Amino acid sequence: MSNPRISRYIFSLILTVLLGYAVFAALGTQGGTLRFGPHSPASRISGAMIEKNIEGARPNLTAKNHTGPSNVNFAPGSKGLENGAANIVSSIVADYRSFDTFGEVLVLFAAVTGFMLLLPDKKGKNKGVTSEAPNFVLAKAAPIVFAFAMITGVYISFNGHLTPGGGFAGGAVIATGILILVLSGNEFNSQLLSLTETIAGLLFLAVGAAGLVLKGNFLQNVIPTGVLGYIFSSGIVLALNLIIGLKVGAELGSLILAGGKKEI
Amino acid sequence: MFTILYTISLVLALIGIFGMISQKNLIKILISLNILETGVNLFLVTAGWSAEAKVPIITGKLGLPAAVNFVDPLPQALVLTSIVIGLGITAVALALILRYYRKTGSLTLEPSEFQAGGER
Amino acid sequence: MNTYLTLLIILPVFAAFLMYFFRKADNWVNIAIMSFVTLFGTVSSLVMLFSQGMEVVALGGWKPPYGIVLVGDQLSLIFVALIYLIAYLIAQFGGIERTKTNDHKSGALFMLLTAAAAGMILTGDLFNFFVFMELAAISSYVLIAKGGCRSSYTGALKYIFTGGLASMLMLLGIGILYNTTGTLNIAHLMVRIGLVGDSLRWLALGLVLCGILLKMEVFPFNLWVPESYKGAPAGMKIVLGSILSTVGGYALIRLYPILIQNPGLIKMLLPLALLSLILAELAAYREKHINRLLGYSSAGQMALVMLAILFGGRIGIYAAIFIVIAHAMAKAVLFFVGAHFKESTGSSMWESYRGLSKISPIGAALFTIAALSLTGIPGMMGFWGKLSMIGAGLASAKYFSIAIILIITIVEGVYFLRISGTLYQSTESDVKAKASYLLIPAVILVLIIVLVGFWPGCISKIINGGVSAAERSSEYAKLVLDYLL
Repeated sequence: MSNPRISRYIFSLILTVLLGYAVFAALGTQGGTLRFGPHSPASRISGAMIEKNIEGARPNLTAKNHTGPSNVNFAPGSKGLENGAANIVSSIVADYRSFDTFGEVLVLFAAVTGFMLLLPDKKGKNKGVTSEAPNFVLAKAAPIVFAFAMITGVYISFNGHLTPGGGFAGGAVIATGILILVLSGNEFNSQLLSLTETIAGLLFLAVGAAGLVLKGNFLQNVIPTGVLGYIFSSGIVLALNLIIGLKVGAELGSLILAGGKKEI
Repeated sequence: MFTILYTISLVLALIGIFGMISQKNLIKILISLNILETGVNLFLVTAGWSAEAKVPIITGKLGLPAAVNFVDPLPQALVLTSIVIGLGITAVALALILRYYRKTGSLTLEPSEFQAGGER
Repeated sequence: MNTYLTLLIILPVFAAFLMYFFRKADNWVNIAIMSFVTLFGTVSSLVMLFSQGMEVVALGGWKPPYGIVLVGDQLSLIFVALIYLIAYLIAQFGGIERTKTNDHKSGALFMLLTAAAAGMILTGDLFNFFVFMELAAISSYVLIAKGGCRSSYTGALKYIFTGGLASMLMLLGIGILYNTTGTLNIAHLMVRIGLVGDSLRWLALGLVLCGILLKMEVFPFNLWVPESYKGAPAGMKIVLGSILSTVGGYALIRLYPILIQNPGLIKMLLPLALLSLILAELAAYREKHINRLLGYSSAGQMALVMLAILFGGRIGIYAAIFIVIAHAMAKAVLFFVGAHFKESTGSSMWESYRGLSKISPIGAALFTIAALSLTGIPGMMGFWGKLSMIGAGLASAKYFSIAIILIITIVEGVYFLRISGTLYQSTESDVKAKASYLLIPAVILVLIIVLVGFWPGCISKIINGGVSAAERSSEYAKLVLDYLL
């Protein structure tokens, strides 16, 4: 082959097409049964998670008495469910499959630790990613945007069990606040972030250990689940969302700080 | 509609695989990996999707939560996890590429082999 | 018991977080924490292994198949005990190579790696396996790159991209399996795998296997092997060779009941394993760099494990478990001794180890014994693995594969004996033995290897328990799924 580049492209193309053919051909044989929804709702394990019916005590959640906030009107039967989160995705992430989330938090922890370990060891100051001074608007607006980002981030973490969102989304929003601060040339204490990260990790373990000690299983819910739809409900989901929000915010923040050093 | 959705997501994944095999530039390989991740994540979400079903959040108007009413929430939770994992891998890979570039001054793993082809 | 099984995963994690508070302390504090945690893991998993049969922990209190379960049966406890033992020896003696700065970070990553390996073995959930696999992968990318030379970065980058590709394919496979069977629990999957159509099952399992084959260093996924083994710090080489590949072998054994329901897939994997075996061992034969050689040899041994599983049957599983254990121990010995030689002579080329038996007679003897065990000489642990493997091959009438295995064994014996011969050549040299403490863990492991070699009965009962746990999928599924019902 005179041109290794072209032969490489052809080889890759053939390989990809073969793989794609295998995937599509195999999926085609299965017809439409990959579908969820009306086809096979109850046959999946998520069916019981949606109905909050794993323990077998099916709650009665008919909408009758208007007892809660405006968008929530459940009968008293929605009190003390096996899992009190209105957002079913949150209930899976932070309760039914919380051990996955535990692993996920560790993955992020390992990635951030590794990122810090691998970056060249220079004593650069956290003084903005660009060499230019920040312009007037950015410099003045940054503290205000930072405050709003923090509030929004905490709000998203706090409401993760009621509305779309949760700890990871909230933490990411908190980290954008830190990014704006770094972009505008402000300093941020990276030691504080490392400490927050570690303490949030220990808190996660503490919540899990509480379940282990009190109920006998790691990460089992020990907090009352409350009434569906209220802010202080859903027990472990709320607690874990807050902790994850703190931890992810601190971790992404220290990623930004480490990456934003001038002399990388 | 369903077929279109999962075809698109799989094609996206295949584009990522093609990029990973064919490219030599480390940054391009990393971008291909991210495209592959996006495709796989989309596939997972798509496979739990259904046109008749609703967002998996219980509100008072829906009343009794029954599995039929909702999109499958479990793949969405899995995708949440896999996105974070993808972020971690990307961060570590970028730091490594930076380190490699500092050490060797090259962005390909075999610097001498493909320079003749005009590629850097 | 329940608590101890969970602690095997969360105690290293706790230690990883704790290390932040000791970042200014002396190095021995970190070593003490790591040694304590891994020693605790070794002892408690051994106690559980000898005490009783099966233990299932429903994490979060959600009963299987809905929640995530940890399954501690005979099979998984053998492997947890093995990886914890090796992790202890690394933490106490060999050491994740430490620099003055960032000590606590390498230590924390090593602890996360240990937790991830234990999690991959204990978990009874496919997606949770994937999450822990990624945790192990990210920690190992960083720890390989800690070697700091060019091949460390090259190896780590190759590993990242191969690993990223393989794990995304695995995730695709998990997605297909979930969408067709509606479950992620491995035991539940064994029951429901029949719901998937033939060709789709073939594809989905093939995709899931990609992630496992990466850890086992089988052919298309082992492009990262030589550079990573060459560039990684001493401790990380042992992690790669003895912990991560062991976990890959375990995962394949655990998925055996699902695997044998797909004869088509087995037909496809058999040539792959044979090709991998031949390529790896021939590459090892030509290699001059000791660590790359050991890396290739690892890939070859893991291909052997895969072949044993593909031969199937009780005896095949028995052989696979035996080879994995023998390989993990012998490879750890070889890397410990190799690090000792490297410290002494300052070179990684085995041809420069001429006459080292004079300076370090124990090291040379340990190296030879471990090499003989890997090759499968009678009287060593590896012999019984190879023997049962041949038995499994004869039982399933795979004569061609057996012939290749025997030929490759000779190749393996030749290149290991060449190194041993170099060690025992009588030449004058003025090097001094350095870092002799690296021989202590090697002595411990070699004692086990020789003991089992002469008296395989002492562990065959445990391994047979593991074989039963691996083979009788219906019982496994029943035990896991009936738990708490």
